Amino acid sequence: MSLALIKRHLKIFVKKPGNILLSLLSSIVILSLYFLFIRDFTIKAVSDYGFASNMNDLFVDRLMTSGLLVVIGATSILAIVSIFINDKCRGILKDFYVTSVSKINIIYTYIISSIIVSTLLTLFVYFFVELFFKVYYEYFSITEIINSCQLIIISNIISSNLIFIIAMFINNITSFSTFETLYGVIIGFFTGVYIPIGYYPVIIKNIFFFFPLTQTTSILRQINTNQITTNILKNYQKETHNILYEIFGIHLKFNDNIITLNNQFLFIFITIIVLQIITVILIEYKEDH
Amino acid sequence: MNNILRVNNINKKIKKMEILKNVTFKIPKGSIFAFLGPNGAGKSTLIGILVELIKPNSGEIVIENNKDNKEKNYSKIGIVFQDNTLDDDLTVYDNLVIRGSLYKIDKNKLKNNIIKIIELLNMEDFATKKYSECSGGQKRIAMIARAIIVEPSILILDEPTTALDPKIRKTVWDVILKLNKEKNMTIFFSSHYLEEAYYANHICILNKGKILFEGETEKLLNKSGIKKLIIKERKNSFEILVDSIKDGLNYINSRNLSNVVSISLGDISLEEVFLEMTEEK
Repeated sequence: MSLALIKRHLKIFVKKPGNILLSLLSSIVILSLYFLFIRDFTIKAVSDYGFASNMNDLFVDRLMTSGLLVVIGATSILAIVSIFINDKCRGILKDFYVTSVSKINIIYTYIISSIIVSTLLTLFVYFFVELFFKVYYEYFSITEIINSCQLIIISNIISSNLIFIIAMFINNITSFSTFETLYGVIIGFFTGVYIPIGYYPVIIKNIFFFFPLTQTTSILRQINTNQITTNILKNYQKETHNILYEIFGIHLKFNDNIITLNNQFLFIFITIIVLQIITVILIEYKEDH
Repeated sequence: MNNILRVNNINKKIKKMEILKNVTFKIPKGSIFAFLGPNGAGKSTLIGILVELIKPNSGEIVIENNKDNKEKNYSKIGIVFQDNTLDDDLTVYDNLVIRGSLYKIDKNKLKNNIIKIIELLNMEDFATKKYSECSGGQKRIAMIARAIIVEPSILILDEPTTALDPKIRKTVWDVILKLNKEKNMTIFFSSHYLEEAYYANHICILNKGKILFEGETEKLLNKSGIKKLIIKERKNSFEILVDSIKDGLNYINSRNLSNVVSISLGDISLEEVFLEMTEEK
């Protein structure tokens, strides 16, 4: 792997302050959207399902910020993808291909750079998110933070691979801008940030089930709401528990079967492997034709 | 003269279209080799094949008679692409360091190489400038510097002076000729500007994927068989290009001979040979 190229991509990213500002701005926009419109609506929805608890606010905030962190990670990757597209359009990529670094390694330098950038930006936002919970709710759990950080990295690895597979088919800046806009909107639905997953028809839920970021969001929600849900649900019968878990996308179902946490990790592991295989095949195929 | 590179029977098809048909030529060591042809002739495809960006369907490229060399030719060939492919936001020096780090060169050797190149190409004034702030000529020279970081045996330039004004073109050519003269670097270039072919001592003309001529520039002018007749009449004079003197005489016979004052053979230019060889008949 060429460290020089990874440094180069990061240098280009940092040299344009607009890149960092826009990435953070998108996080601020998503957070503002949540606090202005989505939050109250979701808290009310929890109460409407009959869960009366003084922890409903905390539950919804933890639930939604988990989704937001996945979305922020997924969208901040686009800054490095835009460098990749620009390099492709300007012929800079060709200039790298004539060096002793292999084509696969060159593409992976972009993927790794995007994982670094998105993880740093997501952790930066996550720091303020946790600060908010500490100050506003006096809620703090070091185990949740450590587990969340690990999952943020896994989620960003998947996002990055996924977007780069698509980016390999994009050959101009205009198409990329269109993709960027569409992706920013769609990802919010797939992760159940705009509308809770349980509100969708079964067929849509089944499609979303196979989107890897829906799985990572679900796991992140399990990590971040575990203590709270136990608390909320302690006075309720077990049959009602699944309503809270399924409607708000903590547990995911395919047809009528809930996927276990172990199987979710297996799904993510297989997804990462499959994405690598597709990436390598695409690099080889696209270069030969 | 030893050949530094041999292109043997290269064929390339893209989507059933034959882009290159049995292309074969040799580049003599230390020469300046002009690769000419109209748009769509297949020049860029062949350059892509030379630098291993494109795989040919058949044929081989042999560099320095080393047929068995399975290793990539990255350090033997330096390329200057038609577009500016350095990073706008970085300085010229940073660009050279980053590109140089992508080759298997020792860090200290790389820094020494860069310093020597900056001196050789008189880049002191703009080495610390952002690439985006450099003039058109400085950008091209920086691209040449990037191509020679690994001290290649052959420098390939794909239309090196396109979109540059004549003064800057001259500056860029001074640098290219300096590399050929002082470093004995073989230069292989494609160009739209036929006057640039005069810098070359070898020429290859490609049209519709086929080689029409390959050899010394002088030979091209002599061997093409094309003659220029300068015909002076009482009121005007004009020039015609003919394939043989007989054709010329037939042409003159078809005109009113009483008006012809004199007929002489003129020197044929490279442009005229090129156009005659490549134009649709």
